[in-house]
Formats: sequence, structure tokens, C-alpha cells
Amino acid sequence: MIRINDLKSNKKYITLWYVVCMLFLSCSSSSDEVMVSGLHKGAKTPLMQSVADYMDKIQVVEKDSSYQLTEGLTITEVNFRYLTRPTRMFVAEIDLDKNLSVVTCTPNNENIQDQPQVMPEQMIWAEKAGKDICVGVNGDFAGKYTDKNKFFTMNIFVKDGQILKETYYPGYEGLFVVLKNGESKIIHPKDFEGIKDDVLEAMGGYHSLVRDGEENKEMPVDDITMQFGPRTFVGLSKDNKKCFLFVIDGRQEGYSSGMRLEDVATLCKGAGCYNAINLDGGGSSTFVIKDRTGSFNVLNKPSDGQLRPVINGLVVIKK
Amino acid sequence: MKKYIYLLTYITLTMISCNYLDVEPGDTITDTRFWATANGVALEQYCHTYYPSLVIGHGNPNSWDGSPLITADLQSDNLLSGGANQIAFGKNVKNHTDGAWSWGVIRGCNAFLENYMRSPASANDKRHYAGEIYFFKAWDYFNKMKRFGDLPWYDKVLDKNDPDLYKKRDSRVLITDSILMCLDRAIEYLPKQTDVCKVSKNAALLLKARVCLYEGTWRRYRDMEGDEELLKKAYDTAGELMKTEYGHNLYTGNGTEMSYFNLFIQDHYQGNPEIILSREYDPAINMGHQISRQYPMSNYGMSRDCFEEYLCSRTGKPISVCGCHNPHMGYLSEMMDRDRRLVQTICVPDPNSPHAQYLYRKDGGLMKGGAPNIFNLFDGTNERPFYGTSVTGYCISKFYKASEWEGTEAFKGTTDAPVMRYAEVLLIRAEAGAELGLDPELDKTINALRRRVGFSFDLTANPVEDPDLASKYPDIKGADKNLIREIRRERRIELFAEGYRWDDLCRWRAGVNLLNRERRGAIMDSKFYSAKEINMIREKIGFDEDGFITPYAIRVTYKPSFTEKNYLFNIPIEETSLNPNLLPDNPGW
Repeated sequence: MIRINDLKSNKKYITLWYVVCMLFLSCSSSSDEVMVSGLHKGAKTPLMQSVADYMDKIQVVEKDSSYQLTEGLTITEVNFRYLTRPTRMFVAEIDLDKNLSVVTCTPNNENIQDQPQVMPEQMIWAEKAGKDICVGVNGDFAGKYTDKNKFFTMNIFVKDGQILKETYYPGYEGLFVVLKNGESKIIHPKDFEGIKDDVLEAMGGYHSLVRDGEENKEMPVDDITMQFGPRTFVGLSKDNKKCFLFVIDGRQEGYSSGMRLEDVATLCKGAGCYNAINLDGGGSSTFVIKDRTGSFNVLNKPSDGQLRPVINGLVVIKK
Repeated sequence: MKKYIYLLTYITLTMISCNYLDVEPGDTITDTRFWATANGVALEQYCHTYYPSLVIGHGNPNSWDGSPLITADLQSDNLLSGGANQIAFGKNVKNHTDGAWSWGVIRGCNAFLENYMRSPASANDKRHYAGEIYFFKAWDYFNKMKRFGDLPWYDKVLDKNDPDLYKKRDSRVLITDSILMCLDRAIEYLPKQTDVCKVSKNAALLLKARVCLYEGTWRRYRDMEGDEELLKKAYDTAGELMKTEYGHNLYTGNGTEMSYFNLFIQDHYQGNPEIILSREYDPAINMGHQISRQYPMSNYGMSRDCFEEYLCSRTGKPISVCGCHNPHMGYLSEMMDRDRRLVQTICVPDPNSPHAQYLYRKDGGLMKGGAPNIFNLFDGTNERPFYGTSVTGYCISKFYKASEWEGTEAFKGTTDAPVMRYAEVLLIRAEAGAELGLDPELDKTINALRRRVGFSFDLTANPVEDPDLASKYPDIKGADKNLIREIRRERRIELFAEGYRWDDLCRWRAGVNLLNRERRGAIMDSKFYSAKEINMIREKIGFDEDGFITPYAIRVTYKPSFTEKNYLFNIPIEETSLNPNLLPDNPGW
């Protein structure tokens, strides 16, 4: 696997992130009244209650809260113990019936993706192009040409109805697509060819996590899947009307060590995903929201200690 | 009237050409101006550009990728991780492009050597920095030769119309001679070591000895001419660097129990008598690494094959014949009473051992932890958490510094990387000597390395045959086959996870024999793992008939198929299509 690394990024977002974290700690409107310890392992939000009940490997949900960012879009922030390790997770639940859509974004909002860019900057460029953005996460794995300082996205990629990449690599099992009729789906990239004229947006992931309601039990056992690492993943409910964007922090002992991929699959199932795929993780995992003042804030704590430029991303926009 | 207009236009055009087109650009420095004004500092800065690409050490600061120094051994039979290494399995396909086929360094060095005499810097400075440039040019060519074999040798800066852009490859004999000419110049020009992070005469001597040993054995094991002469040069050059005037010695500052381990986790190597060249890291100026944060999370594991080579310290014999060790005696017991470099290289699953490293941690007053997780497949519990993980069961501790792990932020690793060290000089002296039938000076070389870790049995000039080593290296050319095999054992152990093993296997032509073997890990000891855990590994990962973990047996669908062609890489297809004179490609490609 090829990783993007060693790229400089912008310090101001980290400072911003701290400020916003502090801000949200104080303004989160959680369902604090439920205090029955033991029930749902201490989880208070409906999402985490469902996850905690389903997932044996979660010992306790130490803290969870959720708030509505805009109509149809709920953000949940959680601290839990998983396999005795502290874990920090951010989830965006998007009701796709509420005039919201999940679409792709690129560096500088351009159609050429060879130089990565940090997520908040990609989102600023998408706004400049007229999109009203609420939330964003990093996207597909990136490959790097061995002798050139240029990158490419590993899986198929479509933005604003334009097919920017039509090929994918073996092993890449999931593709998130939005059709021109507004419907969102998760398909296998091999099925793209047949529907490509109807596709408005498409971005790939690597491993399939949940497929037609079944957890992927055929996950390879290797360094990517078996390490406790930061993760980004996307899921859809059975009726494809609800989309989930997840980011789990990792590689930071004492704060959050991250998750193995087979357990990520279990978590997706527990959260109510009928289909879900794994996106680029590690130092690339980024979870950004637009706050009330209109600025973009990184909520999670990227494991490189700074934002890593990424090749593309998924953003939630108001239609 | 019209003619005046023509005249005016003509004059204007002439003026334009006079006044502007010949003017030097105001915002960049031209070649001519640079060299005419380059003082000593400018020449030094010129040289600095080549340090990051050649003195690699733990790699670029602030990079998540593992240290190249350590991970280079994944491409060998020393170190295993989650996926099978394509190159060590002989499964790499023909490269279309190849980052190693890049000529920026050579071109930059040639530009320096063509022009530096025009610089107003002092004669001393010019000499010194020309020495550095010769050193870098030699190193870059050596790296290319190891990968591609024959290469075009360039001694000048090519311009875009130069016919030499389409020249043929020169033979590796010419390349070696030319590399050695560069190194002799570097040795002549460079001062002795004063700053361990800078290239010195000492470093140039070591590089020369390394090149001579590499090429000397490469040719010897392929029946090519010139091997004796090169091996003699390796022997003499290593001998030169062993003279007291160079001031090198093995580092023994922490006793036999810890010196070897501590050698690799020092914040700075200035004044350390063993280090000949190092790369600096300093998080205070945003130039840290995270080797120690990465180890406990990585799946790296020492191969069983390598583990077995560490001798028994009670008898001085290999563990297959010593009588006091056997694979079924228990995971921990088998690590005890061995050459102490073993426990200073891998983590020991004993909370009371100074070598437990990251396998244990204090939690609520109790020491918790134990043997490592395998492939991270086990969940662990509050009572029995897993703090390390490995695909073989042997977690690596070499280069791990505890204070740079728990609770630290990203990229706060401050230990420098030992890129060249004196132990290699001793190993070159011993190996070249033994190959030639000259005195390997065992007391000063191999036995000095053994004494550092308190190993009380010396290697003698006529050791008994170890059946294991004899099967690994059946074809030895030198007179005393067993002595050479023992020196190879010593080299593997001493230089583990420092990126030497692949080169060694290639030059000894041992890859076909060794890299096609099944990769193995430890036997899972029921004292450390539950029956359920052992079953899970049996199902998902696999054991061989003797009970050793076979990390790739079930998950990897292919078997290694390393052949003669895999000792070299192909010339990238993009390059041969631009310059067909580079063909024929290397044999087999």
C-alpha cells in the first residue's frame, strides 16, 4: 500500500481544531438525562446504544453526545473502550431525504488530482464553486507514481457527472455512488461500467465492510487490516436513505489507539449500515465540520499531529 | 514616410535584442554567476542537498512510513510483516518506471566537479567539498549498480542534444573501477572525522571497503574475474580504518547486558567511537521521527530462521547441536542462554527482564502484558492486554526507546540514526580475510563483537561445521568454508535490521536457496497463549508440521519463486523505450 506522507500542512487548522473542540465540548446538547449505568454499556445516544449493544468488543461507552448541525444532519462524538483500549470516534448521520447529499470533492476543486490537499482547503474550494458544505471526511487511498512526485486515486472517481478515473485496482471492493436521479448506493466497482452513464458522483474505498447486511468475513489478514489504526469509513442504511460518515482516531496511546478493520465492520453493522466500505485511514483520517460562523474545523486529532493532504474527499452538501 | 516606420521598427527590434534578451535574469542566479561567486559556505550548501537522499537512516523526518534502515530487512529473510514481500518472494514484475533510475544526484555531482575550480573559495574548502561530491557520486552509482548491474557511466553534465543521452550501458567492471576512482579521490580530499553527521575520510574508507567486498564476492560467486583484487582491497581498506589513528572502537558504555541495545537509541552520536556516519533527528526543530511509537503497533517479527542463528552461550555451539536448547523447551526458555544480542534485539516476554521492552506495562500497580499478539488477532482482556504484536511471535526491540513511546505525540522521536558503524568494518576485514585465506584477525574482529555482549566462546580459525549453516550456504569458494559460514552468521546477527541482508544474499548468490524457503515464526507456547488463541492462529494463519507459525502459508496464495534473474531488477520500460541502446535488459527480464 502506498501512503501519502511527509507533506507539509497548515498549522492554523490545528489551532482552530483545539478552539473548536473546546467550543463543542461546552455546547453539545446531549441527552444527558439518561444516566442508567450498565444499560447499553453507558451509551446515551441512540446510535451508540445500538453499536454498544451489538458489539461485544466494546466494554464501556465513557462519553457520547450528539447534536444537530443542520436539519437532517446529526454529529455524534464518542469515547469508548474497545478491547480495553481508549477509542475516540466521530460520526455524521445524514438523512438523505432532507435536501442533503453526499458528494465528492478534490484539491482546488479541479478535475486533475495529482497533488493532494488537506480537507478543509478542499472544502473551501468546493464552497467557492458554489456548494453549501456542512461536513467533510477524507476519501480514497492514493497511489504515488514511483519516480514522480504525483499522486492518483486508487479507485474509480466521478465528480459533478464527470468521470475522472474509470479504473480500479484488484482488491478494491467498494464504490460509493450517487446517481443522477439523486439516489445513493454502494456497489462493487466492477458494476460501475454498466451504470456509468447514470452516475453523478463516485468515490471508491478499499475493503468492503458490510455487504447487503452481512459483515465481511473474508477480510484479508495483513498490516492494513490488523493494526489498530485511525479509520475513515462510509455506510448506507438498507433503504439507502441514510448515510453515515465515520472517523476513528488512532495511533495515539492514552487518547485513542484505533481499530482493527474486522471490528470496524462489526461497528458498521451495529450502527445500522446495510452496506459500508473502508476509505483511506491512518494519518489521512480527517473529520471536518462547518461551524455556525462558517469556518471549517477539524474535530478529530490526525495521528501525524498535523493535517495530511489527501487526494479527495466526501462532503455533505445542502441541495 | 513608410520607410521611416520600417526603419523605426527595425531599430526598435535591434534595441530590444541588445538591451534585454542578453541581460541576466534578475530573479534567479545563473550558472556562471553562481560558480564565480560560490564561497565555501555555498559549496557546503551544495553538498547538503545530497545528504537526505543518500544518508537515509530513519528516513525523512515527520514521516509515518517505517524507518527505511529497519524496514529494508523486510526485503530479505530477516524480518517479516503482514504481507509477503514481493521482491524477497521473487514475485516482482517488470517495472515500467523505477525511482532508483534517477540521475539527479549524478548530474548535480558532475556539475559541481566541472565547475568548482572557478569558485573563489579557499583551496582547502574546494578540496573538502569536492571530496564530499566524489563520495556521493560513488554512493549513488553503487546503489544503482546493486540494483541494475551494468549502467551508463557519466562524467559530464549532459545537455539536451548530447548523443550520450543515448549511450549504451557500461559493464559493471568499468562502473566498479570508476566508483573506486571517485572514492580514492574522496579519501584523499576529505579530512578525518570531526562531525559524525558529516561525510569524512573515515566514511569514504568504509564505503570503499563495502563496495570492494560487495563486488569482490559478487564476482567470486559468479565466476567473474577480478574478485581477488577487490577482496584484497576490501581487506586492506578495512585494515586501514582499524588503525588507532582513526580512533574507532566498539561502543561498550553500558556493559555486556545493554551496550548493544543502547548503541541504537542514542540522541546523538558525536563522540561515540563506533559511529562513522549518522543522521540527526530533532523534534525541537520539527525534525523528529516516530520509530518507537511505531514498533509496538507494527506487525514486524524476526524470522525463526534468523532467531535460530544466535548461538548458545553455555556451549558456544549452534542451538541445533548444543544439547541444551530445543524448539519445544518453551518460548521464553529458548531465548535464554543465547548470544546476548538476541535479547537486545527482540522483546523478552518476562516482566522482570530489562529486555521486556513494550510487552509489559504497569497498570494499577500491576505489571500487565505478556507475549505479543500474533497478527493482532487476539482481543485481549483487562487482565491480559496485549502491548505488542508480531507476525512471528518475536517482537523487535532494536531501535526502540521506551521514553519515546507511551503518551508521546507524533514525531517526537529524537534518537539519531547510525548509518555507518565500525562493527561493519570489522566484519568486512574478517570476511575478506577468510575468503582470501588471509588472517581474518578474529580476535580484533568477530571476537571483539562477541566480547561486547559477554559471549565467552571465541570463534576459532577452524570451526566445526554447523549443519544448518552448511545447508544454507553449500557453495563456499574460500579455503575454510566453515569459517566463512560462521562469519556470515556473525554478520547477520550483528547487523540485523540495519538493511544489509538483501545485499548480502545477492552478493553471496544465496537468494535462490534461502528466499524460497517457507517463512516461519515461533512455536506458540501454551504458557503464554490460551488454547483458543492457538487454535485461532492454526485456523487463520497456519502452522507447519513442526508447529512453527507459518505467517504466509494460508493467507498468501502463492509460494516464493526466487530465481537467478531476481538478483537484479529490469531497466525500466519507459527508459528502454526512450533509449533502446540500454537493451538488452538484465538476464531473465
